[in-house]
Amino acid sequence: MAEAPVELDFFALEKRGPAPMASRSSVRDLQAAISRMNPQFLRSVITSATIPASTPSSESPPGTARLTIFYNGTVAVFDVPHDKAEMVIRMAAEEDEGGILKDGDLPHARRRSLQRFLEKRKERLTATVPYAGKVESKGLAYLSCQ
Amino acid sequence: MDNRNLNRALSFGISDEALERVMSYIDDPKDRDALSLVCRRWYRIDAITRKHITIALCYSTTPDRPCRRFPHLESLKLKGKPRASMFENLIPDDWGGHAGPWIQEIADSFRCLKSLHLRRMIVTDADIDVLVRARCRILEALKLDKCSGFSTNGLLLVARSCKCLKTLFLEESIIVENDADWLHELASNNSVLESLNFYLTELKIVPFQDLVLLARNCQSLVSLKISEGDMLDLVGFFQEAKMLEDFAGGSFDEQPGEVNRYANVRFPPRLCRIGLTFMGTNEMNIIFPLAAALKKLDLQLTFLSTEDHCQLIQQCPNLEILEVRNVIGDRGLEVVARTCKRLRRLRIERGEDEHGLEDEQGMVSHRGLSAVAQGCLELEYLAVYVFDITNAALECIGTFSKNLCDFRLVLLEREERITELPLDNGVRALLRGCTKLRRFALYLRPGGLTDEGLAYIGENSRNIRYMLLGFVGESDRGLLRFSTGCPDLQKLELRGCCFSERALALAATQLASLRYIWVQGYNASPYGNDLMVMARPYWNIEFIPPRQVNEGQDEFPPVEHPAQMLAYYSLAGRRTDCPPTVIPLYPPAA
Repeated sequence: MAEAPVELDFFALEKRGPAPMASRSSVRDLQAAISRMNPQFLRSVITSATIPASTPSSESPPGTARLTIFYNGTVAVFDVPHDKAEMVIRMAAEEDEGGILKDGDLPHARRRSLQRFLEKRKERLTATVPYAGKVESKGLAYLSCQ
Repeated sequence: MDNRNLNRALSFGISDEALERVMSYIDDPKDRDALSLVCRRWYRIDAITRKHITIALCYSTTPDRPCRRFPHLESLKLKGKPRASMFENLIPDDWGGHAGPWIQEIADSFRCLKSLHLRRMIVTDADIDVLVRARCRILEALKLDKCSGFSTNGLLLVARSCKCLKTLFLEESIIVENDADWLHELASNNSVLESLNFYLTELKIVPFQDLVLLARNCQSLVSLKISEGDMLDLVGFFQEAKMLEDFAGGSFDEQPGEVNRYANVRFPPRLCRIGLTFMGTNEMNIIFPLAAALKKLDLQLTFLSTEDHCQLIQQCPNLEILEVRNVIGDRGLEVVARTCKRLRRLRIERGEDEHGLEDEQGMVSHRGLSAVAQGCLELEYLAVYVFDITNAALECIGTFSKNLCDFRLVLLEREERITELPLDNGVRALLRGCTKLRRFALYLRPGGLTDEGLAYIGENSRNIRYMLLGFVGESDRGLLRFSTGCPDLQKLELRGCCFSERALALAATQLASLRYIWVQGYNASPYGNDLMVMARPYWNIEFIPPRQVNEGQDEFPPVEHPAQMLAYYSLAGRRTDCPPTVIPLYPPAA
């Protein structure tokens, strides 16, 4: 658990170079990150996600660290455990791409039965002609008529 | 008029018995639904005369409800997993759809049930045991359709006890195979079987002698569909099964140097529906004697070239149902258009994508589609994967395919440039022209359909009850315009959307008849928060966060699957059997 406060500088007021979590992550990267999280954990986060606010003068409760957010001229301070801080930071870093899901992200799914058939067919093709290059346009007739 | 006067006025002079008789002629579920809403008396009579119900999603109600309402039900069809589970790696195997609670209710209460059809559900041997113990004396039809969770032991229980079984359907189920005793028992104990189907299962042991025994004992056997097994081994069966009209499965294994291996295969005289797995060019001629009488031909799992398709189909003028892969090509479709004037159903599946593995002529495009539309005027069902498309082809379908009830078009990814996009005008023309359309699927790519086109769909989908849309529209605006239309849309599936979570949720609330929506690939928030915009009574919302799935090939890294959302009306409240991958968002936990 991090003990040091985590700061996000939205307006680059302090030009120190890119902050660790401020790199622009695409929706895809974010989804990739979430997909590596334990589903049980994810479930508990969704059903119980709350970020308790606390007054700036009190001590951080054990296991949590101070999260200070500067935004639009206001300051907000929270005491959160490391994982919730990560969640907040990720949500903030997420961009609205406002755009179209790329084709590559979602390939056409194949029917299972047909997929199995095509795999078996490939096996048969390579079994009979293991060193062949392109199959002739006559199709498999070429292979089976010997 | 108050309720009682209305009641009397409508039923005056007609006895309950007469009403029962009249209602028994009415089967259409929508008509029955309307009947039951007229008055309490009609509701009651509908309830006691209803013979069949289909529950489109098993989680939409608890098993006791339909039982209490329809005590004399004879036939039940239940569906579990989302349709996407028929495709590779979309739905987790343990998603749900457990048949157990339903089978328990059937055993306890549905005393008249003769026919049970479970589709995409998880059924265990223990479940089958419960069912068989309670209903073996009257069970006439059992369909475990794309199910999983059971083994050949369960089938043995069925085969031993259900002596009245006329239909046993196991197509595409995942069955743990211990032995083939069940088939032997079935052949020995049953004399009324009409249809046996274990097609597209991975059952390896096919005892051909038992099939011969089955044919001998069951003189009414009309349909047999098996898993793989050499056609030569079926010669004996075909000789015995004199009433057979429908066959699928089998296998061909021609060795190099072996000529005319299958020359002795003779089909029964009435065979008019056929699908042969792994059949190649050299074996094709065994179908020629049947060709003129053929009504249904399934070539999806064959090794035929484009030319082969042309040669075979031109001999089949009576074809009503044709199922092929896109190796048929535009050329093959032109033959279909010229020859198959009685064609009602045409399915063109997606073949191999990799270059060089499929016949290079095997490309289906707007050319083939237009030909079929103009040549096959009786077409009711058309599902096709195309490489290329134009608005004109869709307009052609709208002009000629007046009987079309079900239309599905998928634009494949292979070609970078498509002749004509967007398809706004073509889609509108098709929807306006095909007034009987009830089911519609359109799967394109970015740029395939603008927001205007999406609005056209909304405006022109009067009778459509089911839609699958992929990569359509440009922005939330298009979706929201779409959702103000589609008055009859009950079930919606979306994939590859550019829409925000919020817009999807809003659209779901606007679609007047919507009772089920499934979405994958949209601008999901990490935890599905914006879906709560559609939170309302009796509406279940489930979220599947993005997952990493091993596609089963070691050399490739695990594939990342985008988030999914599923929402549906339910009287049963929140699911209690969600696996870890499925997160129920609404209603909240009790």
